[in-house]
Amino acid sequence: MGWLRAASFSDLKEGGVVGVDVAGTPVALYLLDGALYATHNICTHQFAFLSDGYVEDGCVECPLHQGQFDIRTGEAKCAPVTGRLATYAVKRAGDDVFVDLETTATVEAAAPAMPVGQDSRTFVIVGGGQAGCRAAQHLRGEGFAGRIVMIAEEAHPPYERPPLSKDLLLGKISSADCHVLKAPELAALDVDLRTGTRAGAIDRKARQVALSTGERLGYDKLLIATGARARYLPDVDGVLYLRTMEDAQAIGQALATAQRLAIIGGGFIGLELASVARARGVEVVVIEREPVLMSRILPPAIGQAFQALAESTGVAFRLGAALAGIRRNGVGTQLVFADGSEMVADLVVAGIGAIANTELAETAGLSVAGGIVIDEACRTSDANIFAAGDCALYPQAVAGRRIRLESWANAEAQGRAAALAMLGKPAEAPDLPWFWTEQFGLNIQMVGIPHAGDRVAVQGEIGAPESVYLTERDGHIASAIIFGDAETFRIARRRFQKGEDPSAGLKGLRWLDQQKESSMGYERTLESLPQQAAPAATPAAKQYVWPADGLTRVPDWVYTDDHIYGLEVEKIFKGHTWNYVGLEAEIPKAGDFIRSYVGPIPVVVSRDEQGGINVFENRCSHRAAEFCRELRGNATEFVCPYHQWTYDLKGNLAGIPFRRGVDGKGGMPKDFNQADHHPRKLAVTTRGGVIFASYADDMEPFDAYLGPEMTREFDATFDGRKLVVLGYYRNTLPGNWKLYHENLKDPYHATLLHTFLVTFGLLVAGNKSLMLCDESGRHGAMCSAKSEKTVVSDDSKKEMRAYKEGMVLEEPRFMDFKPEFDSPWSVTMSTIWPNLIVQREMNTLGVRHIVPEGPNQFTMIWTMFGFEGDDEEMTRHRLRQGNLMGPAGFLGLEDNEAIKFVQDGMKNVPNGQHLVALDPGTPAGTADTLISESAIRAMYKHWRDVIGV
Amino acid sequence: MTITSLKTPSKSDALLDRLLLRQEIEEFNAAYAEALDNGPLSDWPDFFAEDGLYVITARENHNAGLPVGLVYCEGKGMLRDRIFAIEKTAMFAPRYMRHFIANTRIVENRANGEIVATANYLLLQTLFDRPEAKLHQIGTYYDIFVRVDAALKLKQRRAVYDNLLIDNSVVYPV
Repeated sequence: MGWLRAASFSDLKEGGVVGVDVAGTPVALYLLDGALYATHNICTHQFAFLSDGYVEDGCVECPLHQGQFDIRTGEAKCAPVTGRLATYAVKRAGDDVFVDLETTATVEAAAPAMPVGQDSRTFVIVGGGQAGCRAAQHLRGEGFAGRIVMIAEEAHPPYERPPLSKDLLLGKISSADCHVLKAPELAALDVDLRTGTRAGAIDRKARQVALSTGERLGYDKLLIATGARARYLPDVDGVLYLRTMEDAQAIGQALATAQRLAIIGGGFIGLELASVARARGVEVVVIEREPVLMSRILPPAIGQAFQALAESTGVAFRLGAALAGIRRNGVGTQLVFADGSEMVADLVVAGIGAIANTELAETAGLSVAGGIVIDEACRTSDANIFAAGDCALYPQAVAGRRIRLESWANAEAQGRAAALAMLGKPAEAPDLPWFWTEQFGLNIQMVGIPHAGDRVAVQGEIGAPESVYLTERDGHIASAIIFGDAETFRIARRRFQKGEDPSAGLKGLRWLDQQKESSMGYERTLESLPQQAAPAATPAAKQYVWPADGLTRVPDWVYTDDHIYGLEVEKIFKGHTWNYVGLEAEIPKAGDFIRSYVGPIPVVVSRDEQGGINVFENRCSHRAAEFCRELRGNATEFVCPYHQWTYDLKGNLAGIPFRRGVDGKGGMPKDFNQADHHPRKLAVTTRGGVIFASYADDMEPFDAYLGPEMTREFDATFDGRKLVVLGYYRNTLPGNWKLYHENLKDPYHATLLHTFLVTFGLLVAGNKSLMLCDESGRHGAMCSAKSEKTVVSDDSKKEMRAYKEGMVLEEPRFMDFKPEFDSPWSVTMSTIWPNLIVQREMNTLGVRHIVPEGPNQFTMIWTMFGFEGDDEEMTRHRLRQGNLMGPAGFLGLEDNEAIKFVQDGMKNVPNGQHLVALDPGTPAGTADTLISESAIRAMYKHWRDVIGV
Repeated sequence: MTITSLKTPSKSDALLDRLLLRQEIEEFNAAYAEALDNGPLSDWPDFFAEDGLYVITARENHNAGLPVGLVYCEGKGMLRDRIFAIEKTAMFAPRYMRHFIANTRIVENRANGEIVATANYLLLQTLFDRPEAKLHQIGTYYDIFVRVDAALKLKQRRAVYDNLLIDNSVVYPV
């Protein structure tokens, strides 16, 4: 074709872009510093004209998803775009601009540095999805010349999943259009792609992967990118799911004839499918278990926005609807709800979430917590193994929890990060998480990570096109979500990335008052909390305003307010936490039980006949009686004394007197199902002989909950030796339960309040010490190493008024430290959120169990222990050293008194705030000086996230 | 009628010994309480033999044979250290303590001179900012006395309290 006239030069603007049609090819023309450039005008990611985009720094940014291309080379510069943009030779003759569609622009990117084959290493990628494919691409792009083997379970070449619920279902594109790389691109990567093959196990020692073909494949580095699979409804036939290409094809076929579609699960997949179905004229009902859409991941107002948008196109919703059964009948599929109502649909699709494919990692002994645990560089707990994409956790906690992002952008970003890390290259600064969905004619985008507890500001009408949502958490904008206004989103995203206030320029933003604004779900959310007695005239959000100074101030209401305490019980103790309930040594035999507590809630901890440990509420499911009254004991069953309802060791309801009545009269209703009536059972985990329970059924393993550093400290104390219980103390303290955590996150007080510590060299300002915090800020460990001879400088003495010279113990032997732990510290006090203190005060060991009793009081249950194998002298040493701690301990009693003084101060001089500003160099987190309150600030950072103030 | 007329001479001696010993223990306990309630606290260790054992523990531990002590002192040195710490280093709100010791019972008068005895105790604590005295501990002393230079001394005192939940802290010995 040669040179074709494309445009008039006078139509071009310096620094701008115009779109033209050249012989049927859409071309973008640019004028940069007087020079002409031409590229294809359609983004390689999704259909959008680049000429509608934005030119900056030699790049054009796609208006749709802000992907950037280098205008000179066509190179893709940032997520989400990865495919290179075609460039064309361009020239000017007078006012005419000519383009040669058959010749690329002269500037070319450098070729890969090293030809394949000159590197003897083998990198294996398990998983043939987007993250794995991108990793392979970036490995080559970064110059890796060794062998790459990709193990893919599905029969297809790597493909992207977003179109499966969008354009593919609409029939706009074909399955080949979903492939991550086009066939020639994939071929150029020289990847040994084994489709239809499964990796069965990893032998980490031999560095081999066992394949379903029988082969054992050696690796130098291994990437696990196994993705996720759809969560299935148990024991139900006739329901389709949407995860794979085949799934999409099956649903697409069914949609062609369907008239009424029932979608179970009102998440993104469900809504996108609803959108497609409506576009194809199918009637749609979305069934959601929760009262608000996506209430686990989004603030309720934003869930409502998605609902409103869907409703505007005729989608019907059944919210808060529990399904009791699904069965096929002659006309279609019948859905029966728990309230007895029914509906019939001729197509039922469930989109109820995905389960990470972590089995391979788990059986290999890698750290897994609902997803594979990785750091920013996608490294797992094995230095040679990496993980990326849907199977891996996002490396940063979101509102105190580790989550999986399950997004296209995350798979892209982690694929690249993993490739760099596998090559030993430094990690790049991560982009902010970004997400898009297409539904009901709108492209909806999200930057940052929202959380259910965030505050929400809205511009525009909720759910309407061009509406904007900002969410706020912990005093910062956490995310922006924009419905179909790419330009506004582009600006907000850039501001976000630069750390600027994304709300700038958004006029008409209004913060939602959490109680008044809500028309649907929000009120219900608040109603589900106790203490709702708070008068409606004083909405919670207004009453509890954190001081503007931030974490260096803690207001009194945190410690004294009944409503806040109610929130703590629901969101902390009954929330996403592992709560201490006892030691395995207390219930060694079948039938052994103890009475314990999760927060203020009494529970029974029992060992069943199979050796399992069970934790259930100590409340009869008949008339609420707290049926277990002994502190501990051995039983074959628990009998409620009131009406003799009987529970087995697992907490199951085993028997009801006169269930069938007498002489055919009375008794329980015929449809009464005994299995449905038992005390609430909790999830249980143990580590090192310590038992924890949780109301959450999706808790990560305990080590992931603690984080690596706290786990190391925990394991140093609970080092595998069997525990021997030496006895108990119990005391009730007239203070807020958090003050006890704070006391042990406050190394500042230790040298000032506890003369005993200082005088005998257990702790001196200047001793080797550390105030450790985990990543989330909720856990901590105050660590110190005993100094042999106390040398306190005169300066320090003046500062520490408690120091007394010439104080000599008659029996100093009880202060001896007999090293027995694999730890540099002789003393550690670990605060394990939310209800456990582990005391390792030299050789006197104990766990302290915090049982809150309202905002102004809590009980501590101390279980002191030694180890099997201690001789009599060692046991007596532990007992003598026990004089330091406990309600009568030289140190312990002072802490108790101080906590009472603090609560008294707040009670008698109310409505003030605490000052916790020491050590501004560490805003929150681990401190290497004793003169610091950074660990207290870290705890409140987490606490505010969870409580939502 | 006189008391002696009711008793045979041999029994009377034994009873008299018993009454005298019980009276002696009650006087001992009264003096013990005086030292703790009104001071000086430094007198308190002298109620013990040199190797005396002093333990305060909860009924739940005592009944289960668990050895832990809220206070666990082996020998007078540790007792003196505790008093020293209370008087010179410990920080706590000021308070008054008041012991009531009753139901003194001699359990066994051993051939080796050890006397096994028990007594119930009630200990009230009054803080300065509250109108009421609060029950601090209710419990039993499990004692073994010996004679040192004819005077009774505690070879062992286990103060076993029934009120398992301690009100905040235990500052003074019981």
